Amino acid sequence: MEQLNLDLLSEILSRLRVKHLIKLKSVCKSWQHLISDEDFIKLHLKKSRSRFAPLKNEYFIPCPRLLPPPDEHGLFACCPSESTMVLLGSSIDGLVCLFNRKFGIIHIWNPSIRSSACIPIKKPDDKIKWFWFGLHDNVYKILLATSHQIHLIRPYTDYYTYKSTREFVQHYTPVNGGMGTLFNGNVHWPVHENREWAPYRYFTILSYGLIRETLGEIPVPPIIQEHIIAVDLGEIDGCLSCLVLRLTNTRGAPRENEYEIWSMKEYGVAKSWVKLMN
Amino acid sequence: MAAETGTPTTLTLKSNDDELFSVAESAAILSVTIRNMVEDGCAGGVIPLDNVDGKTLASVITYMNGISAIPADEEKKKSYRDKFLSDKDFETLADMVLAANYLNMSCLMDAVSAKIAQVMEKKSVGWVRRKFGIENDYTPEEEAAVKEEHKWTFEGVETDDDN
Repeated sequence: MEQLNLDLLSEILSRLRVKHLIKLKSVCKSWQHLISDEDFIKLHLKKSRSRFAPLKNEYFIPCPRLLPPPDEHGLFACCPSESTMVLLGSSIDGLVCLFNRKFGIIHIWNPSIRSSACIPIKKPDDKIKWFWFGLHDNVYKILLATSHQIHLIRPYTDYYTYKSTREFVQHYTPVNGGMGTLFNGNVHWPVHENREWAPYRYFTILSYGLIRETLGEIPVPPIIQEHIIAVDLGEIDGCLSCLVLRLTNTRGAPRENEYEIWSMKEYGVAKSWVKLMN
Repeated sequence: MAAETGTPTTLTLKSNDDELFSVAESAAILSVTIRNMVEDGCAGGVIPLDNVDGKTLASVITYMNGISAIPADEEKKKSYRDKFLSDKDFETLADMVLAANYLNMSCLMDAVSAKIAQVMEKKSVGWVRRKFGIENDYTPEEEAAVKEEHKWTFEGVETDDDN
């Protein structure tokens, strides 16, 4: 099969799972170069994303150029015992990003190549309430926010911005554990706003624009604000969508969970929220 | 043309070892290379396919006929492709990937590449070298170092024939 040119070889090898691919680095030098090549890695990632079972964790990016060489003590070395592990985490393209609240360290872990890296950050002034890790504009980014600060980190470059924002969010508390949802270039978090005059906590959606690096709110669906237990955001059919969980409160009847799903047909337009189901 | 006369047009394809094959135009134009020739009007006589041998071409034509007989149902096409490739050995698959590339048949190309990848998964490095006709250009020390660096990837590899 000597006539195989590089394109055809890439076509075949890009379909292998990472473990098998890395093994083949020992076939010969040209294969090692191909498998380590950045364009090939992108091709492999693209193929991996389009597979039917994207959650299977071997289908991951083979070899991102990590910052420092992986910490030989690995991911959990900074966590003396499980009880002190205070982590927030998220995953994309097979990369797992965890934030260790206790030590102020970001870990990026690539299980499919068994490597990890630690990024120490400027210690936040307060507890991290909001977190997001994802791909925006072809760059992996991490957002961490406390009540007064926003940290925007690009782990694969040395880009780091850090902002103190006076108007930021001491009056908000996260509703879904603080995990962000990327949509339309903005990261969104469902939050409770503590309005003093209101008899209940008011649910709203915070958004942070990754390009302009500004914070805002977007209009919430026209829901009954009472008795909301949890809210989560996601994308349905290309629209930012919202899952609301509340407890029913009918006099005399036992309390039950009640779900609503809303979808914002036109991004940012309050009137475009449509209820998809109850 | 078929559309004008109402009778199916048949093309004659010639392999590089001078075997002739008849195939319905509607099936043959799954190959973009052949379709372009038909559209350019160079398909009047025999279409020579200089990069494909008779054995492989026969196989490709079986595939063309089989897949074009299936209506637009991606599931059924996929299961046809799986079945079609299931009994092919590595050498045949290798010939087919070259043919699919030359004939510009993306669906066959995808399926065969995926099949080859699947066959390769658990094979040893030595097997891969032999089948791909690759000479090992590492020194023993270099090779040992590369293997050591990625030691864990050798778990579960077939050891029948490799060091």
